[in-house]
Order: sequence, then structure tokens, then C-alpha cells
Amino acid sequence: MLAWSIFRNIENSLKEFLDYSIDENSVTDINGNNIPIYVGRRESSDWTLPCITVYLDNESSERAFIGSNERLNKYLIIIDIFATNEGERLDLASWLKDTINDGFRYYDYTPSESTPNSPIKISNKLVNIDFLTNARVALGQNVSPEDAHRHRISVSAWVSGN
Amino acid sequence: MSILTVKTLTKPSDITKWMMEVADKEAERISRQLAEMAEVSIKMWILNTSKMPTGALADAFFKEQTGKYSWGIGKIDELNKSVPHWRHVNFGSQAINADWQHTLPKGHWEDGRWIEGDGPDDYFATPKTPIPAHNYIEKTISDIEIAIQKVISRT
Repeated sequence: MLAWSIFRNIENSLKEFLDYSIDENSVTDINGNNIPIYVGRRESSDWTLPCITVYLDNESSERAFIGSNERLNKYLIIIDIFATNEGERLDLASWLKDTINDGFRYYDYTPSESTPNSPIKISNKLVNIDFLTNARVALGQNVSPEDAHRHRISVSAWVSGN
Repeated sequence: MSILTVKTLTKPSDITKWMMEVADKEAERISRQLAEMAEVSIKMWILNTSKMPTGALADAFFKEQTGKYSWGIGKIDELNKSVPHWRHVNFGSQAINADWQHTLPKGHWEDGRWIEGDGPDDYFATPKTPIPAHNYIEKTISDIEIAIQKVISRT
């Protein structure tokens, strides 16, 4: 079975990091439930609000040096916050920005046939980030409840360390 | 030991003025170049991430000089008038209130494909499905960050 690519590794590493941070900081909705983190674009209608989606959208591979095949790989990560009201949107955006500011641990995942829900993971690198955008998603008046209180944080990420 | 003396006929104040002029022209040239790159990048991402691009959204984004060294791509007031769905296409949405006026050419669905035609069973269809996020703004910002690094390393 193929090991996961760097794209899936980054997405899942970020989800694990945010799940842990949500637990650690007690980031809950008004009913005391932990805010769920989903990997991917919001497509499923059974996702309840509030929630946060993360996905890797794009990769750029600049040549590191003239004459070298070494690449400076950077990954565009999109983080969408779907909140139930403006206060919640602002609180989640502020918490998220502070939480991911120092980057997060990168894991290499290898799927396990016997325990597919618990892939084998090795931690040996760090994902660093630069913020690109951090703003409310304003889609106008009379939009659907899912789109009414949205916030987007986009970051440029790269993996460092051995 | 020989001593070499160099004398300039130009006054120091003239050299400073000349250096400022060179820097000024260079800053103007680079900011224009970055604006051109941003325009190409945003048009490319809009067209490349669309299934059936008409070109209307891409055409609505063009560079505009806002100051001696500053440029903008996409004037929000004009975008809201000419392509009101621009935010929905970038961020993705449930498409409600997207002012989605894009209509497919007259035709009908056949095996999951839209077949153009003008027969009695053909009609004008308006897509009503949710709009997926294309993130063309974020992709362009990411491209420009790299372009700025290149420009800085060159100068």
C-alpha cells in the first residue's frame, strides 16, 4: 500500500494538531461540544455549524538555486470557519490565528491494513507558516445560514527539519 | 608606492539626484511588472480552475495604477456590477444570492453532458448547484509572494 503523499500528510497533521488544541483549550460551541475539524471543502450537508474545514489547495516549487534541482516547495492551505454568529466567528478566527502561528508538527503517515483508522505515523519535521489572508467572507445579504458568518484564513506553508 | 587620485567633474549633489532618479524609475518599472504578473496570474487561475470558462470573470480583473508605485487588480465596485458572483466563485458558497446569471447555451442534458441544440426539447438552463471554492485570489497572492522574492533577489 502506498504511503500518504506530503499533501495528505500536511492536511492530516494540521487536523490532528487542531483537534488536540481544541481539546486542550476547550474550544466548544454554545452547547459545550468541541468544534469539529473536517479535511476538505465543505460539501456534506450533514455537517453542523459551527465547524472548521482545512485543505491543501496548491503547491509551488521554485528552484532553490540556479543549476540545482533542489526545490523550495510551498503549500497553500485554506482554512474556512463556518460560525453561527459574528461573535463566534471573530473568537474562532482569533483563536485559530494564535494557535497555528508557531506552525505544527509534521507526521509521515503509512496506512495500516489491519487498523485502517489508525495509520502508522512518524513525527520528524515541522510545518512553518506565513499568513496570506485573514478576513471575513462577505457574500452579501440573505445568504444561506452556512455562508452567513464565514471567515477564511489562508496560509503559505513549508516543511522544515529532518 | 603610487597614489591614484580620481576627480569627478560632477557635483556630489548631482550624483545624489541621479541616483534618486535611477531608483525612482526602477521602483516604477518593478511595481508595473509585478502588477502585470498579478493580472496574468489571476486570469490564469480563474480560467484554469473553471470547468467551462466564458472568460467574463477573468476579463473583469485588470491592473489599474492607483499611485506612482502602487497598482490594484480588480476594482471591487466594478466587479460587483459586472461579475457579481466573483466572491462566490473565489470562496465557494451555497449559491444563494450569488446573482448567478450565467446561463448555458440552448440545449439539453444527454448522458451527463450538456449538448447544444435548437430543437423542440432544447432549453436555456441555469446551473443551481453550490459553487465550489476556486481560491483564485489566494493562489494569486501566493504567486506574487514568490515574484516579489525573485525581484528582491535580482535587484
